[in-house]
Amino acid sequence: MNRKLLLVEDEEHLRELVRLCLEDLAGWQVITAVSGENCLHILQTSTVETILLDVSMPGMDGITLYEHLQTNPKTQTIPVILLTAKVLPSDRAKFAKMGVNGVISKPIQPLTLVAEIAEIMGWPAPT
Amino acid sequence: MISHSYKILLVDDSLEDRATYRRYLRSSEKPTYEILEADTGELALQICQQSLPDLIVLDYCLPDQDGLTFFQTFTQQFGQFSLPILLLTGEGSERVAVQAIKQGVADYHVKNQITADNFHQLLVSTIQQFQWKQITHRLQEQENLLNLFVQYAPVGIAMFDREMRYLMASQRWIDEYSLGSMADLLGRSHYEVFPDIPDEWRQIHQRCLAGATERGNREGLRRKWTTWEARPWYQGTGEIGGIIIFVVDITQQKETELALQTLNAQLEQRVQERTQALSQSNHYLQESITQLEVSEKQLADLYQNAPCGYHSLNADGLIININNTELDWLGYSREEVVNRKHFHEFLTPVGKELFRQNFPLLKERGWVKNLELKLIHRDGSSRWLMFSVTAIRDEAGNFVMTRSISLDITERKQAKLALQKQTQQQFLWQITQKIRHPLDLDTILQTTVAETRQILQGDRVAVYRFRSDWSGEFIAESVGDRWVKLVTTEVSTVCQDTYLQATQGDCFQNPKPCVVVNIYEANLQPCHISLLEQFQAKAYIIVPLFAWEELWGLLAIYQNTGPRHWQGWEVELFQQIAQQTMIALQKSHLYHQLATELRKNQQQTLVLQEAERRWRSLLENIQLLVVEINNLGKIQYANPYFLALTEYQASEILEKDWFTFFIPPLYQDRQRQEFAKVFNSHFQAQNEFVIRGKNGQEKLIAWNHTPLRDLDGQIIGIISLGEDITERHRTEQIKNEFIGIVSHELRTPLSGIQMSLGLLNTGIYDHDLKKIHRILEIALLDTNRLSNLVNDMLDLERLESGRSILEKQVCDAMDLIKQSSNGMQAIARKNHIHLEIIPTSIRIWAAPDSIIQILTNLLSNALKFSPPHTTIQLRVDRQGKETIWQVRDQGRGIPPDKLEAIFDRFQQVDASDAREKGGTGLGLSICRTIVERHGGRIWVESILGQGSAFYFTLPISNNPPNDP
Repeated sequence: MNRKLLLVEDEEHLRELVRLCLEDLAGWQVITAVSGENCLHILQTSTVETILLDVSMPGMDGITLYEHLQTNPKTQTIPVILLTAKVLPSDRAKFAKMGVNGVISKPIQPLTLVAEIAEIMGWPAPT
Repeated sequence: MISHSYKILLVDDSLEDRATYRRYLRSSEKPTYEILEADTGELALQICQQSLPDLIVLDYCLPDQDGLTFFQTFTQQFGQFSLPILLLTGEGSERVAVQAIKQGVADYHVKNQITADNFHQLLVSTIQQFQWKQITHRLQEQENLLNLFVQYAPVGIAMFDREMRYLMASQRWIDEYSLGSMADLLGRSHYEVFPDIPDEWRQIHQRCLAGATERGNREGLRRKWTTWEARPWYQGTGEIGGIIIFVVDITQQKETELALQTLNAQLEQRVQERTQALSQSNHYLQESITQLEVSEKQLADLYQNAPCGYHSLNADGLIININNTELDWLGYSREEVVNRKHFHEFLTPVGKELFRQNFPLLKERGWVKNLELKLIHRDGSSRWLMFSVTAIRDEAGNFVMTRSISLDITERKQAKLALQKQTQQQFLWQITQKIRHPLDLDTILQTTVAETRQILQGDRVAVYRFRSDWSGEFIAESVGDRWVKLVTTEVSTVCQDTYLQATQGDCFQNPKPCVVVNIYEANLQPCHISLLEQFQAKAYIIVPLFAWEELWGLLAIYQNTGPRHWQGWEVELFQQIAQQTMIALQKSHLYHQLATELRKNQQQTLVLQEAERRWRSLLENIQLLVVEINNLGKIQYANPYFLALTEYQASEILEKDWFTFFIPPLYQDRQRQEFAKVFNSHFQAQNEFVIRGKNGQEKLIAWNHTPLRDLDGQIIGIISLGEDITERHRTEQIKNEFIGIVSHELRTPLSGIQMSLGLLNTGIYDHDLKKIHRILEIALLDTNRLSNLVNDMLDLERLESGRSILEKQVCDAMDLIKQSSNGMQAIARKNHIHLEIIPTSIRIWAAPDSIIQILTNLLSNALKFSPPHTTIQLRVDRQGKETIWQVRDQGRGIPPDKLEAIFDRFQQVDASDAREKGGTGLGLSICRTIVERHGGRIWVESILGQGSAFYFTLPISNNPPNDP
């Protein structure tokens, strides 16, 4: 099972910790991007099964990035899961309306994070 | 028609507009204008009261009233056809203009379309048109009047053309000759209507058509008398257009005349007859007395049966001799009378009084002539006699007896009374005329009593008024000087007549008059007699006064000198006076009621005006937007606050379309729908929407819309009250953003901590010490970051809310600099940075800890952004009344667009700085707040790539200032 995910996260600590979770707990392969621009750049050369996207980022934020991805035929088919600290119901509704595949709120326990991603993607839960 | 000079009154509150009109008018050479000006309707009306101009040019919008109100007031005061009014309106005010013209305004013109040329033409044509209208109106009025007059004149009138065809006929004419209706008559020939008219009349008509005027009297059918007059009428050209015939019914006049003629003739005849008889009998008597040879029998027969009465009285008034004729008049036998009856016993009370006065006179003087006395027959009937009396004396000149000759003058007396009655009717008319006009109660009553007393020669005439409990009082009287006064200026006599009270005025509920000739012979109750004695009354007539079919009071006439035989006509006249008085009184009451209502109306108007003033004052001063739009969406009113906010003048927006004028295009359709909903639902509505001001500025307003109804409850518009929430809305947005940022800033380290500990807790790194260390390091860093953040936020919150007290004291700037740099020197050395300190000893007024916090903050920022082998300089200097502090570095610098923003919360130059440099994003905000609380300023100067210098100022402590 060589699942490959792209994590877009500007916070250095979180980037490191989420990568540890997904690699060491779930056994998935993770590549990371530090910003929206960085993400678009990486996707030019790499293919991934899903994108984990932080919403609040300086520069291009997660929503703008998502809209960018939707305009490109090459990237618009990639499932996107949002990671966000914004948990107001209105935000959730807005995100769902946009067409993202899932929304996961921070802070979150490592095991829960893995389980939620697997559920959204329809992957078997890692043991 | 065309005059060469017109007087024009300009009514406009705009000085500028008036100047323009003035200029236009002055530019005309012919006609010339005399110009009057008024800036309010009030002033205009005052000017018109002094002298009416030829034309008023009226601005619709006046400060004190609108044009229509002015027009209505003007029309009420001066009439509609006194002068033309030209109304000037704003553009798009056709509705107002049409309404004005319907009400009679001469013309209107749109204000901004007036030019020098058309203004002058407009004025002249308006004045001329109005003059035609005036003339037409006057002619119409005259025609109507004439028609009315002819139709309802109590006189037969017929107007014919030259061919004797009917042009007009009065109703009386038509009725008199049974001619059907006016419509049947018009255009038909008089000779066709009356085919049998005598030739004599045709000749009269012809003579009149030739210019003659003829009149005459004529006895018509059914003993009707008429007087007629026929005369030509002239056309405008001076030619005879035909003739008019007037016929007046004088039958009644004629009858009265005839009756009087007959009466006088009869009277004269009787007097002649009687005088003749008297002289004849005297002649016989003389003869018989002087001729002793005439036989006793003859003499006695003559004495006894002559057509006149003879009697003799002794000194006591006892009848000692009487002839048959007089006995006949009395209805008694000789035996019953002679030496048994006193003459006065056969007299009426008035007669008795007369006799009482005349008998001594007779005895003394020796004769009384033409004394008229009423003799009462045994059966109660009476006759008027005229007595001529001589006193018979003995040789010594002592009185022996009277000898009186009397003549029956009853018929003459009656005729005289009839005439007198006619005169009395005139008196009634006279009183009626006098009391018909004065409209106050007192005048009516005073006039009534005074006139009545004079005419009826009573001793007292008074008006008694009932109260609700049926007691009452005398409220007006006219009384001779010798009698007690019942009504004086201070007091009116109140009568507690318990009988009247108990019976609710019972005896007077019947409108019949109560006539008493002698109070002692009228079966009155003793209490009534004593009451009447208080008034000194001996005889009276009392007539109840009814108002609105209720017993209102009494009108009374009293005779105090003695009993009085009230004549039938006197009672009747008195009753008629009472009726007329009550008619006048009710009229007066109605008038007062009307006046009271009028006053009430005026008061109501005042109250309304006051309420209107209050509302207006509220609307003018309220800090809310108030705007009224009508059902067409046109703006009818906007209050000063609205105008100030949108920067419009009222005149720029009144009658303009609300939606296109104020709603941004994008929202116009939606707003129209919303307003339609308010109109249809009849309910209030609230919403928030943006309006656009004169200069394009948009304001967010929270609105409350209320339907506006007219008196019939019909919705005629909407009143919208709005609150400007632009600022509030902006603040709210900032607050929400801030909460978003804070939550993000707090959650980020929290996420790190939770995930780190969570990972460790899974146990997968139990054997990987290196990873455990790394994860713990992350957790610790995030914990520090979280703790700093929370501390800074609390600091800032306390500083900003004023909850943290800065304990200021006099301190030395040098000490503060030294203390704050001490801790920093070590870090600087570690990073190979030179920390240069230039302290100056200045006494300042500050909270030392907070100043150290600022300096530490600025120094640690400088250290974070200074590359190795650069210098950071910290110094303080005196500058005027301030100290100026400086922290200068040689770091990367700050972009110009961030120089201000970095002092706001969470506004680092680069978001990643927070993580990398361990800042919270609140340090500079805290610095700014502290400086500001000391009354100083903080700012930064920077050149990208060369370094930044942070400055702040603090006041010097000569006089410790108040904590700002």
